[in-house]
Amino acid sequence: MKKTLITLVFVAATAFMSVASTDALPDTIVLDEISVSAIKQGVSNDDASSTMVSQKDLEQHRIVTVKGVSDLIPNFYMPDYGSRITSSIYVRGIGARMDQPSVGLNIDNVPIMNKDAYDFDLVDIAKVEMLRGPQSSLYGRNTMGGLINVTTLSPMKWQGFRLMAEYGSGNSWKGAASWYHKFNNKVGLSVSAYYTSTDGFFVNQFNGEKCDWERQFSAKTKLEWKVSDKVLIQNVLSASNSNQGGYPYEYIATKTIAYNDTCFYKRFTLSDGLTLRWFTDDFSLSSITSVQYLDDNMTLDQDFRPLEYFTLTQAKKELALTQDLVIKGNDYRNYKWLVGAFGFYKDLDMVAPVTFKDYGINQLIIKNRNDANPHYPIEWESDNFLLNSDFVNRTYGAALYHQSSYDLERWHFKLGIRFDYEYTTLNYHSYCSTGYDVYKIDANTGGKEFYRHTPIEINERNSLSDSFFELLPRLSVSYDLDVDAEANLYASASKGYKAGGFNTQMFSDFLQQKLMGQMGIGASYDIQKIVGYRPEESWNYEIGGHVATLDRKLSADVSIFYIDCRDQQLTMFPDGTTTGRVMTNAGKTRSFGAEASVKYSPIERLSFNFSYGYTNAKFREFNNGKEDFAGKYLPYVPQHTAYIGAIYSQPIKTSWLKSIDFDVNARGIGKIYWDEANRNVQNFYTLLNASVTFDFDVCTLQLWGNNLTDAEYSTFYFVSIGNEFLQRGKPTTLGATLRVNI
Amino acid sequence: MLKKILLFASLPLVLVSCKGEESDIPSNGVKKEYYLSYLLTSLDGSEQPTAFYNVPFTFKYEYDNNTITVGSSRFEVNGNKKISFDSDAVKFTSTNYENGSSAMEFSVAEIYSKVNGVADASGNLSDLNCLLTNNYYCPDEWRFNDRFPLGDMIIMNAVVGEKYKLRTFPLLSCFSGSTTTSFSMGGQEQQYNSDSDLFAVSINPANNTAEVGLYNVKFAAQMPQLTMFLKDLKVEYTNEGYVVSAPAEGVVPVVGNDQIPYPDYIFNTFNLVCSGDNLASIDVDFTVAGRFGGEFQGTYTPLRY
Repeated sequence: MKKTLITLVFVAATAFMSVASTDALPDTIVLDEISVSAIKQGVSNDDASSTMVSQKDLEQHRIVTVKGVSDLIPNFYMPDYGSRITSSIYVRGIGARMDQPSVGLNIDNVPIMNKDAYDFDLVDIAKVEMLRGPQSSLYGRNTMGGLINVTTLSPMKWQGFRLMAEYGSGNSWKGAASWYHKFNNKVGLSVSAYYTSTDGFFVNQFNGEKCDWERQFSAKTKLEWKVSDKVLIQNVLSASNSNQGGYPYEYIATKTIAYNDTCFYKRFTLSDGLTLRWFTDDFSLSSITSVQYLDDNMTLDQDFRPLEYFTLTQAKKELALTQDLVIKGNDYRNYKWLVGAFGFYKDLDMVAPVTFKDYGINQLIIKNRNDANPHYPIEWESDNFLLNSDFVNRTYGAALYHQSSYDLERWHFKLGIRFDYEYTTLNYHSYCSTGYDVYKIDANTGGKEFYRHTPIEINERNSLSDSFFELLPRLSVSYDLDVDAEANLYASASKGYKAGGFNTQMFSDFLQQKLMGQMGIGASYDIQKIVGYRPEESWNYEIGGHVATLDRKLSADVSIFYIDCRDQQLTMFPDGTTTGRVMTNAGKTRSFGAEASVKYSPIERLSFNFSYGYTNAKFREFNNGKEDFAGKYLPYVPQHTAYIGAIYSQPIKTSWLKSIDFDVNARGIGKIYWDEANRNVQNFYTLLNASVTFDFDVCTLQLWGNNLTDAEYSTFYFVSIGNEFLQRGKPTTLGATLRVNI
Repeated sequence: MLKKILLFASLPLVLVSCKGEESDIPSNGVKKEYYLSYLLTSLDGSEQPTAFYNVPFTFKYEYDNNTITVGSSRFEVNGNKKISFDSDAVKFTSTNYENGSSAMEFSVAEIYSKVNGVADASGNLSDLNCLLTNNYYCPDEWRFNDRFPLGDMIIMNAVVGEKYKLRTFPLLSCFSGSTTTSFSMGGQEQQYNSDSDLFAVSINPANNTAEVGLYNVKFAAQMPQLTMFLKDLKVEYTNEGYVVSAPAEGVVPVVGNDQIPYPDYIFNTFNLVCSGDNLASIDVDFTVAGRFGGEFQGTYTPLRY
């Protein structure tokens, strides 16, 4: 009984230790409380590069998204571009802009199964932990670059009302209200609601309206129930609905954002995550079950110009189920062990019609055709037609994993292994019904007479399937240094894996080529080759160390790494007059670099934070059949990320004002190459931010400004139909945030 | 549209000379009948070569002991259409390809023939070599089933009656290879190479004409890739094989499913020679628009996946 109680307290303390730290001083790095998921990794995670961002830091920087956290973490880049569907994440040169993510995201232990749902606002985040480097042995698919664990505030740790109201540039509003209640020592419940609205910052010159507006609403409820001394239950139910314009893409040739067709992104998500934990004298059993539903619609002016080219709609509904079972030996022996089983099912239904419009028909079809045969010119039967593609994509996965660790005085050894299997099928139906008239030019008179009408009927149905099996090991060694501080050194080698799959975005191009093929022009794509892509695998080798003085005034984290990647999945825009993006396996790449993070508080009222990441990521082998990119830098990967900040808290000896905090920080990113040939680049740029926070005891009022120097920079570049586009970063923004905790 | 061409070019029941009763190579103890077309050329070159179309051949497989027999009840040799023969069972070797297709090869030293049940040496076959495979590709519009286009392909050669050389050829055959085009531009001689071209030949036995499809061809960098069809070409049989050629006035290709003429790409000359022991390779030379001189060498195309 006593052992059980000790175990329960120990585990509970482990699970909630980081939450207890939410009232501590700003703490970008907390050495001995780095706790990713207490269920799998316990308290200590000294054998990895990890950063924890506390609630205070999150509120100090007004961070409500994972994107915002990327500002503080070295070698973690998640730019803001496009819309909420675009969660482009790069860690140490490993990244992706579409399809499979390279970084896993857990919210209250629930793995988010679709990258399209990664970008969302979340209030009352207790902590965000980022583990860099492959986490595949414990977390499986799509954690090749790392893992982000988000834990929300617990009603067992904090009770009362929380209110937040914010107003800033761009007529941007945020409002949140939360209620946290502990009924007794066993049951706690929280309910929160959040709303944000912005008019945006960028004007579509075609209609004079802001294009990057947004409205988002979300709600969450969290129930925690200590059923008995041996059983804990946590259930988190959340829903969000967002609607935004998005896509403020500037056409480089004219330096304007101007497009005529509607662009928007709408998304509804609903998820429920149930965590059950059962503790015995010798082990704990945890079950994490989730149901996730996503319903979204992305509609684009595909050419992003004021021309009647074509528009794309991609509307999908996805249901995902996950189940993770973990049996973990209790942590009071030299030998610790963990075994687990994971399974998931994803069912995706998507329709993706492309509407070819008048100008697009003329430029992409009629012009090519009539240039080849001016004696028999054609005219289309209508000023638009549809290329339809419907998909059903089902993915099943199962995994078994194990981790053993052994402590030998100051030495700590850890070995993990995971067997991961996935099977995926894609049923597609691509169809088009249109036609054109053929005329004959009289060689003598030059007159034109009707020759014949040609219908175009395309109806392609087929199924593709693929399966992937991966063996994912991880080995680490760490050593506790004997100095007057908490410090260790570690070395690790781990394999990462990003799932293969099917790239559905190329189907519109496939149909277009098929249509041209019926006209006898151009080669048809081999659908098997352009749609399927293989898994990406990497080996990550790392050496690093952590140190923290016992008085917590100084903590530092350094690491160097080398990553060898095979079959890296890259997004490429096919040459010529096509718009679909193809996911291709790029041969071989390598990446090496270093990271450093330091937090220093010489006195209680003053703290400095510094983080820096360097990544040198290049192709070792990549020839796309037209150009050899070996030796070129990987696109979209920043070579340097840097953050430096200082916070000074001045106590005010009045009854109504407790303190004034002054915060100045700068974030630097770059150089970023935008293409495989390294012809287009975003040089290193710095964003200067500052805030002043008045602490009135019952509430705080923060006045803030971002990008105070109004630095001009770009967050994204791409080419579509031979035209180059950029998305500019946000200009200077100013605002005020009021928080009330009752 | 191309299926119409095939219907026109071949007998109603069997659209391709190699099409059997089933598309897959059968399992144990199965009999399959194929209608083969073949060319008979005299060994001493003294006689005109003769082509025979859609002659039934029967293959019987025994998988228990890996043996096969080949026979025919209506084998034709120079007007005599009642020759029959059945070979002894011989061992065959099989190959399975990664794409799921397979091939079977066998040889028979001697097969004795009969006419009306009486031995007749005029149809005896010797040194018969045969390859049966479904590892054979042709473009989508020429397919006859979802998985393997054209069913099984038979490549057979033999000596007949110690007098003739027999070589089978499909009425529809596809050859992949490379094209080299020479032309003059800006006063300079230039050359353009294309490695992924495919030429399809469809022979119409009714009137000894052929249609040739040139898939995804390009004769210069500035030219779009086109899929062109040359229709009503003359077929002549020679001791080497067969020749498909354009008339003296040239031929205007048609392009696309709607068969639209492309006058700017007129083939002033077109000469396709199919030769070799297996009639499985072609050499083509042509002139387009009076300026572009091209050469193509191709062989039978295995399945691409």
